Amino acid sequence: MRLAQIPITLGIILGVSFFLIHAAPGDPVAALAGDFVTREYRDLIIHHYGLDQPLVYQALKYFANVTTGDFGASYYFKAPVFTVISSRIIPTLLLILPAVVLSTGIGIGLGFFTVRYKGTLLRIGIPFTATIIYALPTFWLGYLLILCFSIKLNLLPIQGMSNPRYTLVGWEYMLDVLKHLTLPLMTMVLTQLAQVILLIRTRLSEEIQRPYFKTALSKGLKQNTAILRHALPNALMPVVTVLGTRFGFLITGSILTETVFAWPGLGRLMIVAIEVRDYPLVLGILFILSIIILLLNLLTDLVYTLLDPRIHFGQYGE
Amino acid sequence: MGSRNWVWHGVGMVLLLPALISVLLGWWLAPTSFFIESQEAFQSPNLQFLMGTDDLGRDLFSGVVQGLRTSLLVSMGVTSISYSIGIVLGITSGLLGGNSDQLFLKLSEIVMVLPRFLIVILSAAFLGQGIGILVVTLGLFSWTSIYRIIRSEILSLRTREYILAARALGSGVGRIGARHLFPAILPTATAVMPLSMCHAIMAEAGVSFLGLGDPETVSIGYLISNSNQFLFSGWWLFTFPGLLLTMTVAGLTLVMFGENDQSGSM
Repeated sequence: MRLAQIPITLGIILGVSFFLIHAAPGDPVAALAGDFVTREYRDLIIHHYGLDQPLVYQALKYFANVTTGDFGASYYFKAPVFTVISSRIIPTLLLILPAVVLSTGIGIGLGFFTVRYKGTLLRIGIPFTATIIYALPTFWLGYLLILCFSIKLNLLPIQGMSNPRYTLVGWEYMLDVLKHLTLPLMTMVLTQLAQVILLIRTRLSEEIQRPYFKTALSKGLKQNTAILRHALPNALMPVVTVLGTRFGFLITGSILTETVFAWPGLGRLMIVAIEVRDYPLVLGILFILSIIILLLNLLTDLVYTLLDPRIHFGQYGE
Repeated sequence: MGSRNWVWHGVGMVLLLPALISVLLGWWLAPTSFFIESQEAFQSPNLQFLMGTDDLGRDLFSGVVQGLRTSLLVSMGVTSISYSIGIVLGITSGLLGGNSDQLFLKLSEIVMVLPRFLIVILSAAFLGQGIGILVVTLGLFSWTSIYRIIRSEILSLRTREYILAARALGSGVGRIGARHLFPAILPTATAVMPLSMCHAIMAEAGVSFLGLGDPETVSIGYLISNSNQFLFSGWWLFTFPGLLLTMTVAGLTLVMFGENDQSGSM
């Protein structure tokens, strides 16, 4: 049921984007042939890439190719789209996946603390700080971190994914990448974190009002155990549902973060591809990013069934 | 339903003040367009130029005032489009039930996973970098959350006695929706409205930051992207736009929390 929805959604995304991109003014021939070319050469290029065919025909041909895994050739990089994209997938995943895990983990922890120790400063302090962090524009936060950690403290590199001056291998290379990853990842985590904290806080304070929680306390459980064992699992379910619908924001975050930190991922490639009007590349990146979002969504559904055994696949309801 | 929290509400309103003033008094505070003005470049903040001037000698204060106005107006435009769609579909969906409900629900599920920001970037790049196109695209793809909230609200409202009474008196679906249900869901809708405005503000800033914004409209995102080469030489260029945008978004969020704790719907 859910699985069947993925190809449909992908089809809609690709279809809409295909016509949007091709219906638009501006043309890719400049990117293909260069700015100053003879009319004959221009026509030759247009014919060679099939840009003189009817749009519907181009669309059908493109979709037929996509189903066989062929995304066409990038106009700008003069290479198959898949080759251009494939080296960029890992860096983006390196940013997105840890961001999801860390922001959820830290968020749940901090949310727990705000509810557990209410009445102290934490109760006002954490939600207030979370709201302020939530309000920071991703890219501005990125520059703030650069200013603080790279320029003032000189601890971490400003941009890129590895140090271009040396060719490192093995552990040293990984350590170098990790150093470069710290600030972009921090940006991503911070922007996602606020949402998780506030969600958990609201849901958890609702759950500890319920009768079952009082029962748990009155049978002698400690406050901490009662929250962790009984209230938290119940509070997590709506959180997982809401987070599942928010993966689009991760893509937004990764595009902006990659731009700020010159991180060689899909988001930055997307901006380049749009600038040079590289249609096949734009569509290819869109396709991969959509797949990442949809798979993450599927994963949330799986987590959801784990948390609540009453829900089975196929009868996904309200 | 929580109770009104005046502290959060108050702090939120104070944070929102600069943006509100920019919208209401912008024509008086910053009468000349940010793009046209040209003075001596790189002046640090002084009495004449409250926020200094940038690399082209443009008055940053005018830029920030006009940028905040853009932010707020864009967010209002986007929210009115997305709320119109979401509320109409939500009421229809909840009231009619059955196939049309399932259809809208599936549609909302699909739209919800679409990477909205990417679509906005694509439309800016390929349909044109206009503020109108941006507002319409964002609005068209932002209705899902309010749709779901309204739909579930209607599902619980439609069995109430006063709706039954209206039905018994012979009111049609349209009349029940418009006269009886719409007023009933209005408080819920307005309670989460600031959140939707925040999303729109951030999306607009992000698009402009990437250089895909309307070239004829001043945007905070553009001001920040313009400042990144001068993190050292012109701290004011970086600080003021970001600070004021953060204040505006935080203000909207706090006002919403203060009015009624809706933090769960973030």
